[in-house]
Amino acid sequence: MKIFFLLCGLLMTSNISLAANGKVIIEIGEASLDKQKILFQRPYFKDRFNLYQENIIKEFHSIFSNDFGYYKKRFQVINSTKEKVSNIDLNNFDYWSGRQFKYVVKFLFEKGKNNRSLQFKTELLDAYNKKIVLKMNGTFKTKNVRSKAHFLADLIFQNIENEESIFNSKIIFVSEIQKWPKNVIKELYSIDFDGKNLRRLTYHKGIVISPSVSLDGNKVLYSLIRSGTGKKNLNLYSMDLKTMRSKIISSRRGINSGGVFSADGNKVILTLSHTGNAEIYEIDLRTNQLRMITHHFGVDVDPDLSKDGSLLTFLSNRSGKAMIYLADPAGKEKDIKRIGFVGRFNATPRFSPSGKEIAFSSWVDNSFDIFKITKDGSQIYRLTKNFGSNEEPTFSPDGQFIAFSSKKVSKKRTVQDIYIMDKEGGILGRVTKGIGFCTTPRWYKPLKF
Amino acid sequence: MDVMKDFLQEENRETELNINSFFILSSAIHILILFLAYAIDSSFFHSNKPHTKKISSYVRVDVVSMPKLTMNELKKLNLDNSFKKEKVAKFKKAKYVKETLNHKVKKYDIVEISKNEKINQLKKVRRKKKQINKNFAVKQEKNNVLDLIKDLGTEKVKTLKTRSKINYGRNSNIKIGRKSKKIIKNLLIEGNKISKGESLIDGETLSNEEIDLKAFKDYIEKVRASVKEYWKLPEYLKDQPDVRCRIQIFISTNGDLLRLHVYESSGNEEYDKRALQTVENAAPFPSVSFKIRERVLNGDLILGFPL
Repeated sequence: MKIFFLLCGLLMTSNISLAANGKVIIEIGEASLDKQKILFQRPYFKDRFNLYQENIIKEFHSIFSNDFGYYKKRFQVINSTKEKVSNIDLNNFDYWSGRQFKYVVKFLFEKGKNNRSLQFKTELLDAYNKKIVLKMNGTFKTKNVRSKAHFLADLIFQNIENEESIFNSKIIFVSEIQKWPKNVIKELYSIDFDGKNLRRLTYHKGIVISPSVSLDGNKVLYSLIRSGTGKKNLNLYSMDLKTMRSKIISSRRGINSGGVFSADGNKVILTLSHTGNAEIYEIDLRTNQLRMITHHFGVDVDPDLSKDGSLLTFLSNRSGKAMIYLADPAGKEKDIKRIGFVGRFNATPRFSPSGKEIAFSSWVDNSFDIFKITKDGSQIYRLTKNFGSNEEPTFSPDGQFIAFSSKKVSKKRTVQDIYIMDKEGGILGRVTKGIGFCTTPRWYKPLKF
Repeated sequence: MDVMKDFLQEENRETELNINSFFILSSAIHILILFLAYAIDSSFFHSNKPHTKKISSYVRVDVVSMPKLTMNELKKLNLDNSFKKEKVAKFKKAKYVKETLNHKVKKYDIVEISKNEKINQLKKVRRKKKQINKNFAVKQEKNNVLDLIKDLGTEKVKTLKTRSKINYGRNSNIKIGRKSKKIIKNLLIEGNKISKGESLIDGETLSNEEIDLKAFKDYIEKVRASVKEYWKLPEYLKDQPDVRCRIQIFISTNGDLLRLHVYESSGNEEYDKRALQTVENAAPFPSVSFKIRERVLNGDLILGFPL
């Protein structure tokens, strides 16, 4: 009896439990995050290169460390300048595992046949398991150095983490570059996630707003107010990123804005106000048929679809204030559920790729800040604070990062740029700089190589 | 004349009768009407419908607002709190040492003492400090509720003769009467008494079986702490919910890991592999006492990752 009571007391006060046959199960508990040390070894030159070629190779090599630096919670990128360089065929696994390097990436460069291109060999080594995980050979020219490096970095990432990275992704956004005395011009731009390769997409000389990209990365939707004389209307356009040609999708009276593609890309969900009140509709691009999704005397705007297309989130003031709602896009006023109950003014709700969370901006303490809310509305998390006025969040394709526009006002000037943070609010860096007032970013993965 | 009188009297009587009968009749009719009205109302309007009950319902309103702290700030708060605990513990220790030392200092014993006596006094103070540190360290180790409860029964407390008196004289701000002084004094005396109290185990000492169980439990804690240090997962495995793996281990008397195998698989090969790797990295374990070596050797220990 004494032993029984003592055992009960012992069990209650410790992390042990009894399994069958008198065995004791010891609960180890949750694991801590394993940051893996990865070394991108300095390139091994098989041939002699001129200064220009050497700089290109250095740029190629630096992209790997830079890319993996974004995933700082998973990887510890080792400074390669302090490490030895060895030929690609010589693998000293014991040395690397002794230094606790989990992965080592080796590079070898030699001149191409025509001396214009550069040939490379890359190997990914697992030092702990003493094996070569990945071997790659290829060539690159000066034009496509960055895209090639990003592609290879993504391949390495996939072999380590078994999922795709953001290294091949881009961000589309609106920028106000040319500001005439009376006319304001806003055009559409795209940029690599790391802030390089800026490219202008539209030349309407009007006002472009609310861009969005299809899931396959082929098409872009945006709304445009054309410049010039005559009646001005906010029309919805679609642009093919291969041909760079635009066409009108909807030019109904009033607002034709906030368009997003459906999962299959054959339908567009947008806000229309041709009936006198802003409601959310669906347009079938093949048949041009219009279907109403919301029907309420309140104003319903800013739709966004989950990745699988089963859920729609939008902004509505049907309760009196601009709050976040969910709906089934398959019907009319179907399964409408309010999930936002706080905030003086909420805007731009955007689904995460998993569909479990919605990022949005809200007016708090005299500025906008980014928040995220769970799909059922049970938890709200604040992501930004004391970082200017932050709006229009967009998730990365893997859901690990969020891009947003941030406006900072000082006595001398006002600046608005696109920034990237991780999903818990850790600011990683600025994407745009000196490109005017950059707003409404949308993160997407472009066409495959 | 008499006839006239009679006639008039009869007429008066008749009118009186008429008036009286009129009143009686009208009141009877009124009562009848009231009765009829009641009867109609109750039977006509309320006969078939059930009685309606007043139902009150409650609506819970949670008044919330937008969060003020960001996710990173909340994480820092938790870390700071754990760091603060260490600081507070150190502060408490310093305070504890100071208080015990100050208790011995007598305010009015300012007497010139020789050098040798000074040195001796310093030595005494140093010895006491060491003892105090030891006692404090021992106190901190005893986090186990059971141990604390058991110790209460066996603790021996010395009653110290205190010369220092609380001054309630004219100079002090506290004004207390004679009766209350007595009450306080009695309370202090009562407070110094220690009673045996109740313990979970009958009797005053632990039996051999109980000691074995305690030793086993202590060893389990050591194994758990050493394995936990090496238990790390990459994010893609950490994010997986409801994944559980159990490893059975066999340990020799020296603490060497003799054998291990997957007692219950998680279904994910990599997860199981990492759990096995964790146990191998954590080995060798602390040496096993004679009392519990059989259990540990026979594989009674199963490590649950995470539960």
